[in-house]
Amino acid sequence: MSSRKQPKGKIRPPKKPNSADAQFNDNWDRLAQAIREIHKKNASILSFEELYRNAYNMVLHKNGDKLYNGVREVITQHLEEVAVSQVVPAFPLSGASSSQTNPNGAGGANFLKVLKTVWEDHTTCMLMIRDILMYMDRVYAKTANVPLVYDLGLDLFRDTIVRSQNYPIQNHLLEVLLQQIKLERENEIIDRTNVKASIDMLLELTDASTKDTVYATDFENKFLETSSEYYRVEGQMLVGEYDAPEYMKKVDKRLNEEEQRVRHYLSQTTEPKIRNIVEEELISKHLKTVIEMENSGLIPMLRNEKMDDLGRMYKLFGRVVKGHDEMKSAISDYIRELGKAINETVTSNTTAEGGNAASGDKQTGATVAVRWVQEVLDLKDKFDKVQNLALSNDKAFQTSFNEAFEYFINKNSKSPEFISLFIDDNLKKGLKGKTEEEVDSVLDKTITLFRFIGEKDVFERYYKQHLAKRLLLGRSVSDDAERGMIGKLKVECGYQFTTKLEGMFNDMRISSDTMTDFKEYLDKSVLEKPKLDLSVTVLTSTFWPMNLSASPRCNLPPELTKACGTFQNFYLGRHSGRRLTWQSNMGTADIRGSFKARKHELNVSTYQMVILLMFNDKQDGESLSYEQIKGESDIPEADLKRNLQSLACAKYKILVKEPKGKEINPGDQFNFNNDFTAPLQRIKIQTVASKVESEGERKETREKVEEARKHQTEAAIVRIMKDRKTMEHNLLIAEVVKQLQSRFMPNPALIKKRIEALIEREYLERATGDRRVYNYLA
Amino acid sequence: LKDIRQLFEDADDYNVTIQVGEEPNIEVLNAHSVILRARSSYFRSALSSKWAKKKGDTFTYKKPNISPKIFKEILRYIYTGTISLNDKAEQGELLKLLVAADELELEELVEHIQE
Repeated sequence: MSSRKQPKGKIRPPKKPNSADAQFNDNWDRLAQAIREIHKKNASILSFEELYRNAYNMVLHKNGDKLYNGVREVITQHLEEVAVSQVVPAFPLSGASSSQTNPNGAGGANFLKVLKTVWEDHTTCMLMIRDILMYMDRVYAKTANVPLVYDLGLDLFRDTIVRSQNYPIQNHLLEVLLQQIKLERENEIIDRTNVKASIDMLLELTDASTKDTVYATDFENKFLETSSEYYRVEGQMLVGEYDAPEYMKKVDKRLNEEEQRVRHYLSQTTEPKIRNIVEEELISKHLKTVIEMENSGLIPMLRNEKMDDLGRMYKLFGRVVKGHDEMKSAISDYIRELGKAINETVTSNTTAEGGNAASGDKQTGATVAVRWVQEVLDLKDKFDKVQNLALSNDKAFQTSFNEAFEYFINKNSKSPEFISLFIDDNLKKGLKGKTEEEVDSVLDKTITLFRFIGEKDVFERYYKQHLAKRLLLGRSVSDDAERGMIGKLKVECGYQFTTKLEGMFNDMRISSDTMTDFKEYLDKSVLEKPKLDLSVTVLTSTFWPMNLSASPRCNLPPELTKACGTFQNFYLGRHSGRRLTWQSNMGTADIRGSFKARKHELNVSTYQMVILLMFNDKQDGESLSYEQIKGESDIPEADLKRNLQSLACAKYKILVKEPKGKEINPGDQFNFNNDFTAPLQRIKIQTVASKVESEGERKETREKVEEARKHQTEAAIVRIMKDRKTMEHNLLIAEVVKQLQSRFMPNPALIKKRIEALIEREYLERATGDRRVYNYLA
Repeated sequence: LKDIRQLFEDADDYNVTIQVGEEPNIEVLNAHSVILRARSSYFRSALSSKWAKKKGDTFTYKKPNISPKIFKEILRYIYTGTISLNDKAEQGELLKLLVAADELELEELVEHIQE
């Protein structure tokens, strides 16, 4: 420093203009020289105090603008030199972006390295220049409203180097950057620090007109365009070459790579943009192709329960707008397809086994129903698992799956019956081998299927029938299980749905009390005691599914008729005003049969008892014809056939039929089978178990349901109109549908018919002004 | 602040020698680089690794255009936040202090004196 010390004299405010000029020139020369030394990296010979004081003096003496412009000139000159001497010679060979002449992008990498050095030198120098021009920044730049000297340096670097008018530096830079990124995408190792340095440089430079970074104005769009093109080509290549799981892994990898790339050397603002591009090119554009890939797409994944792949697809496709929609609809279609297949196997089974069912194989019908429900439950389980393991329990998927199940379950018109039969099957013999918890969980699952049923009223009807048989024939496994099931139904459908079912239980309880009382009554009574034990269950007709008007006829044996009479007197004495109708088709009897080998106790239905008792009066070998039996017993034909089948064609042949065969036909002859043998003393002759209805019965049930719906619809209309007094047609329809849909889906035509019927019966009238409006008539 | 004042008045771990004034009125003052750099952006640069001159472990710094008297006031202000000049008695000195404070980027002191 001492070497630079010159006799400058005392620094004092200027006294004369020309001495001020001299002073200025002197000061400036020293500064310009110093800046050149800084550029030469010779700063150690400089004195901060002196240079600062020079600049300070110039600004103090109103020469700030000259100083500022001088600095600009010196820096520009220097940068021009740098461009020529360092940057231009480092240009990669012509065709730098062609990987043929430059396989590893080495020329490009070198170019970036040079640029990195140039940039680092520039910023280091500018920091030193800023130090000595601190006073200029504070006092001059602010008042003159020009950039601070460091920012001036950035602008000069931008215009002289990066966007040089004289040399194609910008082109080379962008090309090299894009080339490096491309190389990295193709798994080449590149020197990320060089790339990052250039990117950081572009991020630090500001575009004068947009006030955005040069990165954003010059680089980002080009980067996004080339990326778009790159992934467009890659997407087409990948879908052609890989199966769906591999494809998705590749896409996953690409997304990760791009994210990493941004994090390592690009601007965070680019992240969503490049992500969108990859998502668009690799996911959106190939959604359907990947979903539908043969042997590896969505359906094969589901078929083979590839939870990982499904999960990956769910995550990946969730990134784009229509991704999940496409998945949802593909899976729903698949569910419908599987459901359709289940429905079809069942219908083909029922028709194939229809003959058997009629010939006494009573379980087959129920087996079909149980198998149908089981298969639907298995399907439900499968998709619950998918939902749980692969789809993050996505509510939207759940909804769409449910719709698919609902669709195919309701496609099978027998589903309400099947589900009821399935429950019947479980409540009847469920505890064989299954714990109560297991049964409970099966029933819980069944309830989920029940939810899908549109015609809940049909289900209710079947459930009542099946429940009635379980209760009356004592085949219910436990009261708790039955009540548990009813509790579940109540939760689903509310109190109204189950009142009648609960009423049935009540009847059973009251009847058992009544029987105790009846026995006491008989003990105390002076009347002749009946020769048999009579057990009566009194059913409230509105709760039970029996048809009163079509009460089955049957000629009971006199002892039984007498006993019935005794009970009737007893009962009506206690409850005046009630009417008892005997449902002989529902009863059972224990009778003793004497065969050649031994005596057996037979547990038979009331009808079977009536038939067997006829043979008491017959000689051995004397036969009765079908017509004789029919005429004498007066049992309805369908029931008679079934019961004769049970006696003559089933496991225990108490009767022998002539000619042999599984069918009962007019003209058949029946004989008491004296040679009957069986290992057990007590034999239960299987009565007709609950089974899938025959076509005729189905039609009958259907009609009953339709009839009930008419009443429910009218009741709903009246209820609504009573409340609203006056209502427009469409609103009324909507309201009725809303009220009834928990039980069944009423169609508007049906509702319209009911409205008309109500108008006819003067519950409603059309408004005088507007025929589409109804008034309630009190 | 009181403890820093202590350092100004009496310390044995100075690491900056400051030669102020011009012949014949030259004096060498001592100071702590951390304190100077903490209080003034001027010194932050002057004593930075890019610019600092050192003799052994000691920074050497010369300030010819400020007199010892004024520079002592500057140091007092840097260490204690106060000045000892009496505003009435020493108008001329106060003005010199103002100029020096402005050069050394001690804006707080500039405002203080102007008030």
